[in-house]
Amino acid sequence: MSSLLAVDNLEIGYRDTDGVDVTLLRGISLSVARGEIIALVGESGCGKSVTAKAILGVLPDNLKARRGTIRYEDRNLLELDEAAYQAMRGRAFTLVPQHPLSSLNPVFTVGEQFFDLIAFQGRTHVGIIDYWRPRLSATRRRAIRTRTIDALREVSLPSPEELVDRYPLQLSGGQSQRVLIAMALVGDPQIVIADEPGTALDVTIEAQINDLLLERVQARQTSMIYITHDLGIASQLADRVYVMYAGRVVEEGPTATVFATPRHPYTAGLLRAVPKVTDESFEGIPGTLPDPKAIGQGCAFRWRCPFAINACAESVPPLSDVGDGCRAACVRATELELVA
Amino acid sequence: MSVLDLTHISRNFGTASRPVRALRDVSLRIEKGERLGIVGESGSGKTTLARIVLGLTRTSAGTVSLLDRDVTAHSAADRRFIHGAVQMVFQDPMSSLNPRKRIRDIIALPLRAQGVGTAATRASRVRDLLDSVGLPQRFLNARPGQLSGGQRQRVGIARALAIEPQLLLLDEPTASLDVSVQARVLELLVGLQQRLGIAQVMISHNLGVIRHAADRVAVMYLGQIVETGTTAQLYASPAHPYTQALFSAIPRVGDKKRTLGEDHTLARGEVASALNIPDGCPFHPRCPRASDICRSAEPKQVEVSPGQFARCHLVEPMAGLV
Amino acid sequence: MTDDIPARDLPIAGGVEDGPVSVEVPAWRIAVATLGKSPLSMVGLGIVLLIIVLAIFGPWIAPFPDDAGATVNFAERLQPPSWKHWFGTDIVGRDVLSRVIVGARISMMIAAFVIVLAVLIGVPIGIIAAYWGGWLGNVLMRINEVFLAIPSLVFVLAVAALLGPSLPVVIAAIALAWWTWFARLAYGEALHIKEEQFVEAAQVSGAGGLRIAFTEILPNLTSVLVVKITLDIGYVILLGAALGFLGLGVQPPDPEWGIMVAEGRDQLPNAWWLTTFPGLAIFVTVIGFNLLGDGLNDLLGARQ
Repeated sequence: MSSLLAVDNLEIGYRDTDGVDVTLLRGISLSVARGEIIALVGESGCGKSVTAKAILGVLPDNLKARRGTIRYEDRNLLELDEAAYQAMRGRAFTLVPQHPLSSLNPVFTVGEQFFDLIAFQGRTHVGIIDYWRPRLSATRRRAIRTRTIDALREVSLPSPEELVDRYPLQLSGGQSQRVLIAMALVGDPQIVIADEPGTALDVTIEAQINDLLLERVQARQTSMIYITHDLGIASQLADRVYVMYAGRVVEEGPTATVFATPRHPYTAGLLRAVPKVTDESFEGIPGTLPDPKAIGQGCAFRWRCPFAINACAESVPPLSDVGDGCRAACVRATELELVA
Repeated sequence: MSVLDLTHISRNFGTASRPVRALRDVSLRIEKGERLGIVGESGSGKTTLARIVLGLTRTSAGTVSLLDRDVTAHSAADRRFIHGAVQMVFQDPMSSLNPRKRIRDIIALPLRAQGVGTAATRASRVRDLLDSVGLPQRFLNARPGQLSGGQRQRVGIARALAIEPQLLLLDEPTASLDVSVQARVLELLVGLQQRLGIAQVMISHNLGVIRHAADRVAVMYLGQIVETGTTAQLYASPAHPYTQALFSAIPRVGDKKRTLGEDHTLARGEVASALNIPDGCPFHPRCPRASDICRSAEPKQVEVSPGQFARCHLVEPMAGLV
Repeated sequence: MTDDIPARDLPIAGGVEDGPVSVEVPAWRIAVATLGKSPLSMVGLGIVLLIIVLAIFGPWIAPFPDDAGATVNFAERLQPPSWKHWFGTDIVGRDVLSRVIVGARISMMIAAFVIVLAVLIGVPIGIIAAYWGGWLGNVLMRINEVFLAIPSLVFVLAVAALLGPSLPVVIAAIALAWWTWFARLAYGEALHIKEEQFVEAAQVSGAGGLRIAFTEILPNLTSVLVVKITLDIGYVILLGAALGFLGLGVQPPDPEWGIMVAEGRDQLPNAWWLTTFPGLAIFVTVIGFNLLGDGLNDLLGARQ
């Protein structure tokens, strides 16, 4: 399968107040094929959100892409200017963000927020006349309203004809999240990037949201990049998984295989660390994420790795094939017998 | 003598005409050294329950008895008594530590506030506490902003243990931590409880955490306890549809991909608001098995098996969910 | 072949639980670095430092320190700016530059005392009203509003006119007007802070209200207070000068800038230097504190 989106060796960093270069992403590569769902799994500080922002073109100004490319269709997204990016957002890729209540503008109704989205999608600048034209046309308003209600119905929101006139604060967390999913899907995007969409919600509601997202994405053959720290969710939703640590991908492959037989000590450690509902014991990983400036030449996980050897400090282990379609970035990947 | 005895507790907020019924007829008993887990989502009343146990708020009805002393009246003396016996580890390590204070002052606060010991004995106790939570002595002069989430949570644990409480409350102590850190903090908590033998109430929505941190479990929904039993019982065969829904909702590694509608035990719809509790069984709008009696009559506690109780008309324990 | 020496002796760089994740950078270093990025803030800082130096060392810096008092030198009266007298001389021959320099001390003294008094009165009232709330909070805030409703200048004029003009009266009058702003600021911030979990944690620890108010809430107000104090110093100086100008503040022969502006008024437009230089001093000082205050505002806002 040729890939729809391919990130190749992306390196992103910034310069801190002392003038030192700090690298957040140290050469990330990933790809998504048409209709495929991948998961970016990692804990805080691993760089998964930065990766998503880089793809969407919404990195803060002080972060610069130093190396690498992001290929979408035939273009390198890193070379696009803001206008070209605007044309792509909403059509090529969209975002389902994490906090529903802070992602919706509280002073506009649901309908009003959809209006601009539908009327002006892909356009960089909208002059005053263009802004008012669809609003003044009754047919246009009706058409947009119908489309909004259909979008809301598609995400199983009850009474969409009433909901369209409500304000975000009148909705529950689960309902707001569904609205955000509807907004992400309304432009028929090629890729949906979901940034931990259920974390702020109750467990039963989160399960509903993930089911919904999965069903809608599969129905439309849309690709999805699902960012999460929850291995269970990645297991349920994703075809392939990328495990990230300290700005690098340390393991990747088909989800079931990676989680059944992890080849990188960090993946194994993560799997072991989840307190399970069954009787199995769990065990955390000692230590904390290293200071990005101190990682130096070697593997970023070496201080916390129970299998570390001197070679781990000498060079960054490349992602290499470990069979079954999986790759792991560990010099000892082939010889270690890791238990999840 | 039990450590804590709550009898038919209710708590309402708001006005008499439109009350928010946060807790409705909750009864609980915690024995010395026991570990109780409280499972609930938002709106279940678990936070209000915790605040009552901590002495931060009073009850609207029912009695609260701590170490055989009736503290329902919530007088200033009652509150002092409670603070000397019950302590809490808070959920968010970022905001539960004062960013302007040094670690040693944060941990020493309960000792100072309750007039325990002298400056010298307090300093020594703070050092011991830091050791027991696995942090190095040089953290004493640091400020919370310099520490990671897991380290801050350890400070919170040290603070809670300072006055040697008889009852420890933990409100989602690992929810805001990363997976690998969460496991370490949980290991610490389990180890500490084993060594010190303190009675403990762990509030969490994470059934994996509860499994390892509790011997008995109470499941709360909309202000009531809907199921209670030993951990072994509940995890082997939960009886209440809400408990069953919670188990089904857990995404587990190794799960196949789900397609919508396949799983019959999932709860539908949204949690109702405590302002507008449904008639009959409060769970009926979301229950996949609701029938007429559920819509009209409030269910009573049914003993499903020795020591396991559920508030349901149509009790149908389900095995194999775990 | 791979080495199988376990790597326990690798340098630990924050990779183990027991290392603080970040080093505590002293506040002043962050301040200097951030302020340094804004040229305007640096200008403000420079002016403020200059005024403080003048206030402390004025009599030793001024070329003719005696002229700050009641000396007369009719031979040199009303001379325009020259190399000997950079700012010229006044109607009785005193060096204007020296008087302006020593005048800085008076203005800063007014500012310092007023701010200290206003903070000592206003902040505790604001915190108490916010934390305890209820009828006490209501009463305190209503009293606060009464004071706020009276325009400061009018209030200060009334007090000064009533009690007679002198430096202590000026300070007291402005402080009485000014505490209300600090009370209101402390009240608003304290309302926020008391909802934080560490306040609840302190309650659970058994801490009483006063301990919480002053050891938990107050330290978290300092950033906001520092910004407000810096911005306010300018206005207080202006108010003091206004009183001096109207003859209700410090009295001659003390070289307060307001008085100097007033005295110079009669000599306009000929001896323009009598009014202009003291006026400039006021202007530059107020701008300096404002620029610094804005810089601090950005700095402390960015930190949060």
